Parts: sequence; structure tokens; C-alpha cells
Amino acid sequence: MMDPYFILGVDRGVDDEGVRKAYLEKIRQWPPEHYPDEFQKVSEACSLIQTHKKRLAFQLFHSSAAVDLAPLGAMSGVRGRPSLDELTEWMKKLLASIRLDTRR
Amino acid sequence: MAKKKGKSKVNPIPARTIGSEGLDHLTAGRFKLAIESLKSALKEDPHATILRERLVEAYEGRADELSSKGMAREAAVMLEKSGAITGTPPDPVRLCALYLKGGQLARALDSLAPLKATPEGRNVLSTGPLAELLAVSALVGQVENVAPLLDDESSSFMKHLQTARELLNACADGRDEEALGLLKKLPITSPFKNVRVFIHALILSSPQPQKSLKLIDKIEDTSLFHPMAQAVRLSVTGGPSVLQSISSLDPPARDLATRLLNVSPEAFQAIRQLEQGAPDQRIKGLLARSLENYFPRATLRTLCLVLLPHAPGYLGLFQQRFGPLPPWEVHRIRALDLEHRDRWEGAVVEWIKAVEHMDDPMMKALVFRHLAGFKTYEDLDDIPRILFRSKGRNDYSRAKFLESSLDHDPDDRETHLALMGLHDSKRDAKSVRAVIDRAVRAFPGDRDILEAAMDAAFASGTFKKAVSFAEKILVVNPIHSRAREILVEAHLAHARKKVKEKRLDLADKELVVAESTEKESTRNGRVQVCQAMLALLRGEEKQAEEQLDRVRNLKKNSLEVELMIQSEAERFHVPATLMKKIINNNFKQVVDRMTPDAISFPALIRELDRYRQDKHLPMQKWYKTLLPVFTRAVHVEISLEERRSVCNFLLENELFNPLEQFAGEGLRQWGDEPSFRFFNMVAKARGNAFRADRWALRRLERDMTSLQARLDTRTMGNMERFLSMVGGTPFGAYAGDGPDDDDTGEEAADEELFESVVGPVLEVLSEEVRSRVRAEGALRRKLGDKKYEEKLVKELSRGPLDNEMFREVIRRIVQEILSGGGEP
Repeated sequence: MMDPYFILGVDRGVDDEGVRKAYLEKIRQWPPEHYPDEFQKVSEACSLIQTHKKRLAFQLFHSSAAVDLAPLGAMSGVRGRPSLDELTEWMKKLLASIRLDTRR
Repeated sequence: MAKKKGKSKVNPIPARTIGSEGLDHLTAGRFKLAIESLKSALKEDPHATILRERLVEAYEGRADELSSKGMAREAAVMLEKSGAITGTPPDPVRLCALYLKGGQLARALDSLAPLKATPEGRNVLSTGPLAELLAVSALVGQVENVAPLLDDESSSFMKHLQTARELLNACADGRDEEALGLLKKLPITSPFKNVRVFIHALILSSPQPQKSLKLIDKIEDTSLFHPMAQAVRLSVTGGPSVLQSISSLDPPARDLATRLLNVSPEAFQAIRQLEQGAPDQRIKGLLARSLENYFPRATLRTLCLVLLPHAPGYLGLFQQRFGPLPPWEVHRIRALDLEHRDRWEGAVVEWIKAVEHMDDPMMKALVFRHLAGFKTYEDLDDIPRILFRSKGRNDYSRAKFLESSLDHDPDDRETHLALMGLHDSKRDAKSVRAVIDRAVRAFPGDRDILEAAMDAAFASGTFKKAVSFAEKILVVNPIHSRAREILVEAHLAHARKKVKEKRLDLADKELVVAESTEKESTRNGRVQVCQAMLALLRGEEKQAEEQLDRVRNLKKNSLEVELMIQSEAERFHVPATLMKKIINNNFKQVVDRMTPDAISFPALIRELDRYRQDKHLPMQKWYKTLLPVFTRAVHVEISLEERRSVCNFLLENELFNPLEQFAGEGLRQWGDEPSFRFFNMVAKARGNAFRADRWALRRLERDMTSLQARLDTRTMGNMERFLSMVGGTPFGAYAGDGPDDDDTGEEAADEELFESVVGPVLEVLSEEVRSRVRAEGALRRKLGDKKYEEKLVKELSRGPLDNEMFREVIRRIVQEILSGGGEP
């Protein structure tokens, strides 16, 4: 099961208003007409932790053997921007994998 | 040596032989050997054109071979050699690709020089992947090698190169506004266009992800920036699969994605290892101290907590690492672990302990609600009692859990509804009334609660309440058909009451109101039948007859109409003599005419089921009349659930002959379906469990344990009732060890069964005969002689044991023993 807190980008101590705001922000980011899958994920996540009671139920009964490790991949919330050296180095490496048409 | 040299001079291998060997190798795809042989042959015969051509083929084949093995540099050398033999340069694009693969960028660019010589070649260089190749090569510091390859528009290339460099710089330094300004200076026709799109997508990935994704879609699959764009896409979309998706990217793109997500390569590696492990390995990994260097402690703790119920053995280590957990949390983890292993009894005990340590009433309420939802109970409220009997804890039941939940959280609407439904299904009128009152007090205007309250009140026979709820519902929703139906039923009930009090005028008024309440589209004819009965009581036979004819025209199913007439005649206390005047044995005639089908027959059973609720109706008399219909319906093709429902109906009404036929047909259609096996057994035993085969009973006990999740409550209830006749424990597996794994338990149970049946008879015999019967019984049980015991049981279950019968039974038992009775 996906971690609804991670999907909505809120921390575990969030209140009802915090969930609502995060939900609205996410559905603005992923409008259903363009991103139906993402929108569904966001809606499901919201329905799991929308109210205090639901968050308590999630805390009490949620346990998953296939624990979603995605939160480990994006915890800081700050995106790292590559340096010029890194960009240059990656481009050099990518040159080795360029697909060239050998027919002239 | 000298001898050898001499020998080789004397017998040189002819060039033709070596050449043919080379050609053989070439045909077989052994390019390395082909090259050696053909080179030797050409030394002997340098003018053999065919050999020269074949050598070129061999070099090219070897180049492909090496390239596929990842030896791009060596492959490029082979291609160069093939060019040297023919005197014409090899395919420049192919050679360039090989050098690029080998990481020799300068040589790759040099190899493209021949393209410059032709207009066609110049065109290839200025468009598509080669143009992008030149642009990116210039960006990574190969300007000197790129310059000779540029055409006359080299000045614009250099200008765009400068802009692209500034763009990369601005992006890397986070000067986004400046970068966005520079983007406009790079036209879409520039060979740097994908640099522009990629950087634009990168900058927008955080503030405008949708726009970023649209830009990413513009980068073609063949572009150098395609893998990088995919990395940006992954970082934008996120989600649970992002880490797995990153693993599938090319190394540079993977670096970019992890960089964008702020995950270090070491952390990424750790996550990948964690993903691949089983739950206990994962938790072990998450508990490893080294992970704290990469991830926040709180996140690691949360993830461990989610995993702990799958590996509770790590509870101690977890507490050492992250500090002690509150007691309720420890019990919660243990309870979830037991739930995962289907050990419901233990899970309930752990949850109760958790509740005892909780302070938050909401949490307590949630746990009780959770316990009430355990599937193990199904809807049989007594099962938990059986579950806990062994521990002397008989106060746990689904209803009790729901009530406890409401005690802690009285405002939970769903729990009110669940409790109402539960009591309603058990026809526990007193409890239903109590729950209704509480729920309606808590939610006076809630439509769902009112509907459930109305149905429950009606089903439990409290019409006044049902009517008040129906009226409230109709205020909110005037077209609520069920509420209207209940109002009509209430008026009919009043009318019947008035008839009983001989106040026919008041009954008439009630029926008029009922008719006006009923909507024409939902009219089922009952009100009209009631009016006909009233007319009959008043001596208005003609009117009654007309009224009934109208009903017969209204309803398609004539048997349903006749049942309706019969039932209302009983309820209105219409004398049989009066009835005969107008219906003239219609019921039997309709039964004789009826051909049951897949729709009408289940509908008839449902209708009869409803009439059964009214204890005053002569159901047995009806069944006698309906018996031919049941017999005709045996082979009608109905669904498994419907057949099961018919069987339940027949069993509950002790109609064993049709039950045997229906169950037999069920077994024929659905093989060894346990529910039909049960119905068949009950029918053969005529509802008396003592007459049933003991082994079949034992199998039924096992079936019930395995079937409880998929069988309906009604069938399970009937099975349980049947078993309880012989004092059976319906859930042997829970009550103790399963019959399959414990022979001693089974033997004891067999002996117990034997004693319960034969014991009272044996009491009157002399000690000597008694001990012989018991010893014989034990021996025959051991030998698996079922029939001996069955005979005894059969004799004993014939009926009440009066003195005469008793003597007869003893005589038979003794006869059996003395004649070595039974059949081994």
C-alpha cells in the first residue's frame, strides 16, 4: 500500500485542514482530465487520512509486508540541482549511448 | 628445426587450400579464423580479387561481432582495416558510433570528415542525431574537432553554443529567471534545441510539473537527452514505483534522477537492497545503524513500525534503537501479527490488552469496531463464544464489540448502522428497539439511519415506530417507495385488527387510506385483495369477486395472487364457506397448471419465506398443496445460490422429500459441493442428526470450518443447528485440535457420541451385558465397522422409548451382540 502521507506530501502530525490543503494543491498539480492515475492516487490517499478518526485507524491497523520505500527517496522535499560539471560529465557519458542511423 | 623448415619448404600448403578454408570459416561465422586464413592466402596470391573481397566481409563481420561484445574500439579498428583493403573509407556514421561507444570522442568526430565532401553528407551532418552529436560534443569541450565538420553557417552554431553554455551555467547556479531568458535565444531549428527543452523541463520540474512533463514529451526517443528527460519525469511524477523505475535508467540518467530526488548513490543502493528483501530482512536493514547517515531517523522509525507486525521478533531491537514503545503499541503489533497468521483468538486477546492501555477513547472505539469486523465470526454471534469458551471468556461477541465501540464513540454513524443490521439479522426485537432508539437520538435527521430504523422496526413487528420513521423519511423524500410500502402495510395491519374487533366500517376506512397512499405504479394488489375480503365479510360477494378479478389481471404470476388471497382470507378471518363461494378451489387448480421456471420458482420460494413470518398462516396445508410444484421444479436450472436458498427453505419447513431431490440435483450439477452434501444428509436422516452417518457428521464439522467464509449465514446456521443435536462442536478446529491431526481426540469424540446414544439403554442392562456391549462397540469402532453402530443408533432414534419399545431395543442389541452383529 502506498503511504498516503508521502503521496500528499504531509507529515504524520498533519491536521484535517492540512490534509485538505495538501489535497487541493495536489489535484491542482494533477488535474483528473490530464493525469487520471495520479489523481486517483491522490484521492485514495486523501480518503485514508482525511479525518482524525481515519488517521487513527491508519495508524492502528495499517501494516504492509511490501512496505513502500518511496518516502526514503524523497524526504528532504528540496530538489537537488545538478552542477555544470555534473551536467557536462553526464552528457559526455550519454554521447557513448547515442543511437546513430548508419544508413546514409 | 632445420628439418622442419626444410619440410615446410618441400610441402607448402597451396594458397587455394588456405583460401577455401578461410571461405569455410567465413560462411560458418568464424570471422577471426576467416581473417587469418584469408590474409595468409592473399600473401601467397596477392591478386586474388575474390579473396580480397571475402577478407573485407570477414573484417566487417568481426567488427559487428566485437561491437556486440562491447569491444567498440577493437570493432572500429576492424572497420578501419576493411577500408584500407578496399581503398575506400568505411561508413563514417558506423565508424563514428563505434568510436563513441569506445569513448573516443575526438576520433569519432574525425571519422565523420568524409561526410563533409558530399552535399548529401553535409545534409546528414546538419540535421537529426548527428547535428545534436556535434552540438553536445562542442558543449563538452570538443569545439576544435567539431569546427571542421560545420558548414557555412558555423557562425550561428558558435553563437548558439555560447548561449547554450550560458544556459547550463545559469541552470546549474539556480539562476532560473536568467536561464528562462536565455532559452528564448535558442531557436527550435538549432542543433541545441533539445538542450533547451531539457533545461527548460528541469527548471520547471518543481514549480510547474505538468508543464515540465509536456516539455519532456517533446524530446524524441532518438535524442541524446531522452534518458535524461526520463530521469526528470520520474523525479516529477514520484510515487511508489519511482525507485524501481530509476533502477532501469542508464547510469547517467540514474545519477540525474537520484540527484534530483536528493538521494545519494549510497542511499539509493541501500534502498534497492531493502526493496529486494523479505519483510524480516527489510526490517533488519532499516534497523541497521548505518542507514541513519542517509535517511531521517523518524522516517526509518515509521517504516519499521509498519513492518514490525510482519516480523515481531525485532520488537526488542526496535525498542533498543528507537526507544521504548507504549504498551498498547506493543500489543497492537502482536495483535496484527496474529491476524496475519489467522490466529483470531489470540489477536482478540492482544487487542483487548492494547485497549486496556489506551487513553484515547476514539482509539478504543476503533479497535472494538475492528474486532467486530473479524471475518471469522461471519454473522453468527455465538461463534466468538465458542471461540473463547475454553478460556472461560464468554462475553465477547460481535454485538458486544460494536456496543463497546459505541460506548467510547457514540457519534459513529456506521457503527450504529452495523449494530442495527446485526440485531435485525438475528431477529432480536428487543435489542433492535434499543439500538434504534439510541441511533435515532444521535442522528435524528439522518436518512440512512431512519431507513435502517424503519426496516428494523417493521421486521421486528413494531409497526407504530416503523410508520413514524416512514413518515419522517417521506417528509425528506416523498417518492421513497419503501417508506410508502411500510405505510401501506401499517394501514393493512390496522384494518385486519379492526376486522378482528368486528368494526368493519373502520377497517374499510383504513383500506381506503392504504389505497390512496399506495402509488399506482407500485401497486401489488394486496390492498385490493383486502378490500375483496372485507366485501366478502359484508356479504357483497359480487363486489369481492370483481375485485379479485382485477387483482388477477394486475399480477402476472397467478400462484402469487392465490397465495395472497389465501393469506388475506386467513388474516381477515373469512370463513371457509364464504371463500368457497367465490374462489372455488382456485388454489389447487393454479398449482396444477403452474410450470415452474428459473424466475417464477425462486420468486415463489421468496414469497413463501415471507409468509412464514406470519405464524397464523396454515403453511403446512399450503406446502401439501404446493408439493407437485416443488417436484416439478427439481430440474429447473437455477443458480447455485438460489438452489441453496430453496434447500434451506425446504429444510426449515421439514419438507424432506423435495429437499432430497433438490440436494441430489445440486450434487449432480455442482459435484461434491459441501452444502448440497449437507442437505442430502439431512434429508436422508429426516432432520434427525442421530440418524445421520457419524462420519458424514464429522465431515460436516470439517466443512463448516473451511466454508465459513464463503457460505451464507442461513446455511451455516442450519448446519450448526443440525450438528448441535448430537452435541457437536461446529468449530472443532478452534475448540481444540483438529480431527485430522489428532486420532486420540477423534476416538474420544466417537466414544462420547456412542455413549450419548447407547448409554441410557445400556443402563438398564446387567453389568455383564453392558460391559460386553461397550467392549464390542469399542472393538468395532477400531475396526471401522460403522454399520453396527448405525444399527443401534437407528433403532434408538425411531421415537420415544416406551416400555415396549425399550424391551425391543434391548432385544435387538443383545441379538446383534450374540450373533456377532454388524457387518465387518
